[in-house]
Amino acid sequence: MKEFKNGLIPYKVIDHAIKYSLVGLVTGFFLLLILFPLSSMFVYSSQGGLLGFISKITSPAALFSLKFSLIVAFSATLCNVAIGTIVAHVLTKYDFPGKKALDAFVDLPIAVPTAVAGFTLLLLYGPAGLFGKYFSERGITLMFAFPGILLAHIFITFPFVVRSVSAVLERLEKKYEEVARTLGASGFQTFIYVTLPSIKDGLLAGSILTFARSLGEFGATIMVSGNLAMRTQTAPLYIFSRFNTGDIQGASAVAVVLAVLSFSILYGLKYFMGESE
Amino acid sequence: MKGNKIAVSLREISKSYGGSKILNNVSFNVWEGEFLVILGPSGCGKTTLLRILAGLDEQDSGDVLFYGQNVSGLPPRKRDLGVVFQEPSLFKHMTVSQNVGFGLKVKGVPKYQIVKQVSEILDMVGLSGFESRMPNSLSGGQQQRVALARALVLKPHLLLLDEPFSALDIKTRQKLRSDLKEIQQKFGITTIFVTHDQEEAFELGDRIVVMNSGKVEHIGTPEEIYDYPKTEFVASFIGTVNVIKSRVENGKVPLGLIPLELPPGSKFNEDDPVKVLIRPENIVVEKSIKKLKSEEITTGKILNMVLLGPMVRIKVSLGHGVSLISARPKAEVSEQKLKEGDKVFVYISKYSIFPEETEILITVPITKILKV
Repeated sequence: MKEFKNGLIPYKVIDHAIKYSLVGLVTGFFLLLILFPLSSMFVYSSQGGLLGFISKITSPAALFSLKFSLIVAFSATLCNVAIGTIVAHVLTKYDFPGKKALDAFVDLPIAVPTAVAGFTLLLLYGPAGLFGKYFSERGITLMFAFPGILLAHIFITFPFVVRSVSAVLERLEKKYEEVARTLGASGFQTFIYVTLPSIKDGLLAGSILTFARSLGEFGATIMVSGNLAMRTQTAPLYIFSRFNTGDIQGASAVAVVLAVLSFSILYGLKYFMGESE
Repeated sequence: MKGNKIAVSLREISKSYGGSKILNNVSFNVWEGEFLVILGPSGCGKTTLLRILAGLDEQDSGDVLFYGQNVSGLPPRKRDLGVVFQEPSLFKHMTVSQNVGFGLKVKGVPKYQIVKQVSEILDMVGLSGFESRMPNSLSGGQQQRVALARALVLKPHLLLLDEPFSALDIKTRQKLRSDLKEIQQKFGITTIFVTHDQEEAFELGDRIVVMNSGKVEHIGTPEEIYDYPKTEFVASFIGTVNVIKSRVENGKVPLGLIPLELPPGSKFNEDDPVKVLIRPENIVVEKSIKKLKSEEITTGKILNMVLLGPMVRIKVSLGHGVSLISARPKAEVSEQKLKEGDKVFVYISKYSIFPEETEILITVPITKILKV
């Protein structure tokens, strides 16, 4: 072994020691927090063999929950694409008093605990709430039904489209819109033909994030849905209910499907973002 | 004067941004079919003026008239004009023909007509066969041609260009410039072209508006602006010029040993501080006095000479601390065998005199031309 001059350890050795202990730490975290829990889910779900898994996943309540989750996520995404684009447009294009405050409020749904969000919606739109009363008197139920769940999901996922579209709009130079205007385009035509094609990447990225977040939403959903099987039960709520009644295999089966779905969305997004660059 | 109709009329246009005045009472007319160049240094307000003409910005006061109709407050699409910006700004997600046909499409022109008109105009700007190319596959010059075609395909009454060639290399710029002039004449379209490049202004402009600090300094043909600049700014901004400080003495302005006569009608008093502006090509340097026919001749000594292509730049000392830069054709210099250190006769064929302190517009003719 080589003698170190003056008995000092060279920097290279220290660097290596730091590097490998950090890599070990990260790997440990990854295994304990992500890989082991995920694989145990697969293990539990396959305890009854493939047939057991299929029978669990094709039970009417399980199928309903998955289908319902997809419908809710799709609807919430659709709503937020429309609302979010308008909000992003207003926030990047116009100057008005209170703009900064409004801009800060956009991120509020990320900061507010989901259960709190669900609770406030319940207070306002529930049968006894200020708005809910008005609707229930006219025979329209908002809470413990699809509209309430959709409302909660729109609220929770609100920032995603706004932020991803604003980022593109801020970079989109004003000159393209000005050129369109000098070529005779109205404001609406300019938006459809010039602005929209330019923001479509941001819009898609925001939509995918919205969809994925909505698919996994739990806290607010359980407050506003009432967790009624075959009526208002989304997939995460189904997993929770099955687990509570001791049906670990049933919970795992839906969990696996949900996890695979989310993974596909995440990697779809990564692939798409890579393509567009 | 091109046509006999006034196509565009600006009346006392003023505009401020955040307290500073960008445009200060700008007024001028543009004749139908005329190629007008607005020339000035950056920050002089020329781009703002063009944006006001286009309807992209609004003036604080004053009126913009197109064919006698006040268009102030109208959006760009109600003004019947085409604009080409400094950057081509082609829509990236559209092909060349979709870019060019955009204005026709939003107007609701039938598809077969769009195809026909687009191919005609692309032919005119020299881009036939580029229809299905994407903008990012074109060179800067080609992109700017597409932008020009996109503006022209609508056959607007007025074409506005904001330094459209300034980002291009010099060869491309020269080619585009001459092509633009040709196209402009073919269409007979009234054109307003903004630039800070005097070479461009002189090549393109039927008339030139020289602007500085939000004000019009001089409007005139290239010859008028070059030979009879109305202000010191115009004289020094355009071309190169010798500026010599002096004072009025006995009704004349001494320059070295030459007592320059005051131009007729000028209102200078005895002992007024003045500046004499002389262009290098108006300083004749000769070895023999015989060739010179005027009395306003002095002697000097060549300090140095630099060959600048077809011209030679000669620095001559006139004594009394005055030295001038002269520019003479190379052939003339070789013929006379001029060299550094030579004693020569110096003759000034044309000069302008301005009061030293002011920058106000001088309305009296102050340029005196001596007959050679």
